[in-house]
Amino acid sequence: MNHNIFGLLPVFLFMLLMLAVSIYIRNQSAKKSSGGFIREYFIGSRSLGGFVLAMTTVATYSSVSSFVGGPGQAWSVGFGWVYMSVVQVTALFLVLGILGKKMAMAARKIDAVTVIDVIRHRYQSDALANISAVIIVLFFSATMVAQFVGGAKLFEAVTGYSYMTGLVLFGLVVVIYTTIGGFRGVAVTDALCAIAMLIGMFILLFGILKAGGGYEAIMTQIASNKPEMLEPLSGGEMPVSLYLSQWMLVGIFTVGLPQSVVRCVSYKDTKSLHRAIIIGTIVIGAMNIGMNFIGVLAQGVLPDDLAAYGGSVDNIMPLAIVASLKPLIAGITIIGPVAASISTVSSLLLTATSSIVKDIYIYQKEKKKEQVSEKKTSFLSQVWTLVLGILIFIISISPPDVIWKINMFAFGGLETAFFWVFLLGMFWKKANKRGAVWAMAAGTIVYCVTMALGITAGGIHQILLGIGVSLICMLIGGWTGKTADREVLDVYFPEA
Amino acid sequence: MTRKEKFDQAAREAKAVRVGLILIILFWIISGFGVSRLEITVWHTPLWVITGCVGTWVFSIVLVTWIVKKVFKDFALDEEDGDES
Repeated sequence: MNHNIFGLLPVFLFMLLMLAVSIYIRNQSAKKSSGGFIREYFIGSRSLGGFVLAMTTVATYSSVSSFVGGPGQAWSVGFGWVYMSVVQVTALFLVLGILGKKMAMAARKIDAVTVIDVIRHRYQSDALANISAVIIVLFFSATMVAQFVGGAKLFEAVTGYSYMTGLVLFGLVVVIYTTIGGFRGVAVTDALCAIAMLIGMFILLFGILKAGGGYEAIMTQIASNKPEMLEPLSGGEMPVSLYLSQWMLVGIFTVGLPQSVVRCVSYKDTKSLHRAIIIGTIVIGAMNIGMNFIGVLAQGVLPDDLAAYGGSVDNIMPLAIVASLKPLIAGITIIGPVAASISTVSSLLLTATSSIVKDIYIYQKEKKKEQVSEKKTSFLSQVWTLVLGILIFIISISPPDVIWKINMFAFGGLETAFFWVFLLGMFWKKANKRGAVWAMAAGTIVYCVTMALGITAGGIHQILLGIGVSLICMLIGGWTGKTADREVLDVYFPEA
Repeated sequence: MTRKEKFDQAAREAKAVRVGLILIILFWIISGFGVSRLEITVWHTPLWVITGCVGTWVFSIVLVTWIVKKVFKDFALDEEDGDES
């Protein structure tokens, strides 16, 4: 099926649609917008409704690995992997339910646009804001590269077109449409991406069931060939410590991910938040259970040992797609993983740019009492989005090893850095500058060092050590340091 | 609602979410690891897969919806607008 134009066409048309939607939204919001460029560009003037809020959060959270690496593992270890992925149903409920309203009210009170605005104000610390910005830009950039690479590799494996063709097709276009559409554009295109992911998932499910000779045949085959795949511990492949790790890493501590928390300052009203929590729980569960279930069922079309498929679980899903779907249908199906990749990139890109432009550049200017004109902020925001995006694109052509190392640390690193800073900042009056600076710095360093050296506590993922150290720092800082002024605290803990 | 009342309400909601999380974890353990001990197979699928995966998902949706409807309250997020509901 090499170089079949049908493999290319659906993704191409989908990307055109994304571009058109972004241009349309830009024109629409130019007509309506009254609240200043920065607020419009980076948080869509706090106007997200429930459905879009849910879908954009799910789409940002679901990455290319939800479609490739995850289901590939499920193919290898079985239903334990599906069972484990269920922990993710709590992700939206937790971040929106715990931080959603407090963040929204505080952000409105101090006119915050970025999550770093909130951190800076809550802890009255420029140092903390700067560390936050560096962590966000660094980890987000590595994550974006990984998304591009994952998407382009899948594209190459399924369509037969080159890696570079895929990268240009969706990598370059996502950078352009993010620059054009700003946050509102990203939110709506994300919602469309989430729908594309669900559609891709259902097509693949039917394709694999058909190619594998039906559900009964596939399950019978698994039961006789690899019965351990039907046990939750998968014959030792899925130890309890792994389940515990995943509850922390992709469940509870996702509350700290800045790309999710920024959603808390961008929605319209409490009704939207309530709807988003319910819709989000439904969609994120369907997607995770569905994709990983498909991964297990892929045993029906790929029954051999891993060595027969190039020795990497990342090859499983592309091979399963090729083996079970006709070129055109396969072309439509890969819109799903491509959508997962670009919807993550678009949000990360915009958040990273907001850190550079708003949290570093404009803040420094304002501090020196220099006026930055509306025209200039508008220009800078868009140029930075484009420049950073293109830079990520260029790095993705042939990523250096260091990017993979950073990417490995990114997800847990972001959680470690921000979890307690957000959570205790909103719920513990005594959380203060000293604690937060140490929590963020020491936590992240401990996490990265233990990850690099492979040190664990009882076989549980290093996130436990990072988050633990971060908490201790936060508590000691809070008990020994100076609590923020009454005036500052009144934003987060009003007394009237 | 005064600003303080809104923040108190948000804190109550956050508490409900934490309780909800614990209930979901308990349900997940019992319906997955627990049910797997029964070694029952339904339509070629181990029962624990159905209860632990799809079951936990459905339980979460029902619980989350219940919490949102019963505990969560609508109010204006801006200070000036006063009470909405």
